[in-house]
Amino acid sequence: MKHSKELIVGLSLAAAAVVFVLGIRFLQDVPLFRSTYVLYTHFDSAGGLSGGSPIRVRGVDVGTVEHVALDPDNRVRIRLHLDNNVHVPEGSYAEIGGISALGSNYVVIFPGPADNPSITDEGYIEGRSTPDALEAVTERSVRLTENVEEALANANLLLEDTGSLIGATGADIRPTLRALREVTDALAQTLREEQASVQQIIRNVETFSEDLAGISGGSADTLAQTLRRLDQIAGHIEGSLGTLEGATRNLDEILHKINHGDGTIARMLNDPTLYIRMGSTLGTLESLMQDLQENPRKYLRHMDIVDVF
Amino acid sequence: MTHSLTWLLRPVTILGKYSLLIARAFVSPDDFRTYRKNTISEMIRIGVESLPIVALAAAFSGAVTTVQVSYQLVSVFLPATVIGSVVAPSIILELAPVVTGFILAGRVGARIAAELGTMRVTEQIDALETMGLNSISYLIAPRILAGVVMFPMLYVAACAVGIGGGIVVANLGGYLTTQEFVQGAQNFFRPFDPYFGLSKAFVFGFIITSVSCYMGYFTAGGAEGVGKSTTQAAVMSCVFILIADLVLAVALL
Repeated sequence: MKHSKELIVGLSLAAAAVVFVLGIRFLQDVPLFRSTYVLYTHFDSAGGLSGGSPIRVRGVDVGTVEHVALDPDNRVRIRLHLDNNVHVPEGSYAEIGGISALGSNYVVIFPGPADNPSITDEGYIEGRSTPDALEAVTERSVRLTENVEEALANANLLLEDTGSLIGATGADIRPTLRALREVTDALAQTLREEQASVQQIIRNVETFSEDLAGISGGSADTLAQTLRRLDQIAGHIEGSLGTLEGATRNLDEILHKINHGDGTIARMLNDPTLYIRMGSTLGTLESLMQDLQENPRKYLRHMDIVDVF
Repeated sequence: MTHSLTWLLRPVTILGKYSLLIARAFVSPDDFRTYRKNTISEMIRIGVESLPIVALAAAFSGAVTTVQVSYQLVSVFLPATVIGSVVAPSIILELAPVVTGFILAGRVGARIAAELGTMRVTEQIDALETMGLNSISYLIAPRILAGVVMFPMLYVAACAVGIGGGIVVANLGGYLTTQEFVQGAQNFFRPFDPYFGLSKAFVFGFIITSVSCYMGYFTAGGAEGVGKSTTQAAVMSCVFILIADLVLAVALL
């Protein structure tokens, strides 16, 4: 019993040490009692992986990343601890999954054909580097930021130029500005004075557009019908124009004939003898009528009808 | 003028007095074997006998933290494992060392101060000196040593029990399953965290025992003085634990 106190103290300290070490290993997800085997892989970038990051096959945790280190050739060498009951066939490859910004990266192993022999302890598995989505975005945003900065610098230059320009020609610009202000003031005043009429105009325009809207909305059918009819009429007019052209052509022919002295009318127009004859005929007729007026009986006597009276 | 200057310099004087006391405790002409028996029994009293209360406090703080984090982190975007990711580091980094520290400041600090204070006012310390023993080394070194060694042990126990309490409540309260809790804790686990907690425990153990020893050793004024020293020991231990907590966090995290 002499050592009992010392025993208790020693026991408690030893227990604490064991709990501490096992606790750290447990929280690092290094399997405590399961037996594991080791695989190596290489990545171009660790992409947020660290010791303790999980390894997943089809979404199931099968082990942990034990160690992430930089090789002499500046590639990232990763030591993986896999559970013994997990078989990784030859032809499998590893990728880094997860989003590094959230700190939840893991190694994904895509198993090769199941028939292939398993990769054994201390074996090597191909590591394929995929660009981390967020990293890509970050890279781009850096470029974007540069562009924006450049644009801002240009804008600054422009503003400086403008400033110096205004400074140099300030004397010219100021009166212009004053005049402009006067114009604006006048316009404002006019608008104030004529507010009622402006409003009236606007109201009218509104009513008009409303009416228009009503018309085109309410009698859209009628409008369409009218347009159709107009189309028909235009068609008819086109036909009529064709006919008219034919008529004109005929008329041309006729006139041509007339001009060249063919036919009755041409003769009538072109031959003066008819006129002369008509003139003499008329002269004869006149003298006859005169004679008739003077001596009606001379002619009427031979008419039986006159005897009736 | 002299009076106000003395008053101004009092904290520095106390610091010097304290440092000299602690230094003298460890710079001792005596062989350490003289104190071995004392050290072992102090370890039992400071460490092993404090286990139940520390475990109780740790279990409850772990449980409460789990419930509280589940209550605060209600979001569709956050998986349930996040609760584990928050609770486990909180316990490891802050709750286990500080809760243990406060409990020990009350339980151990007060006891040490009361013991040494009573020895002082009943002139037992003078008796030790008369017997040719280095009273400072004899009384203080074993206690500080016991504190520094046993406090990390208590810290480890507090971590284990605290996380265990969190898991139990997570299951019983239906907040998340053990697997989710453990997975969350593992996802965001940094191996530095427990070492940081351990160094905190180490520092707190030293603060509690040394401050209490100082208070007890320089007790004056009879029974009333002992009471005053005891209170001071507990209060000042807590205050210095808080200060050391912040300093360590700023320096090491």
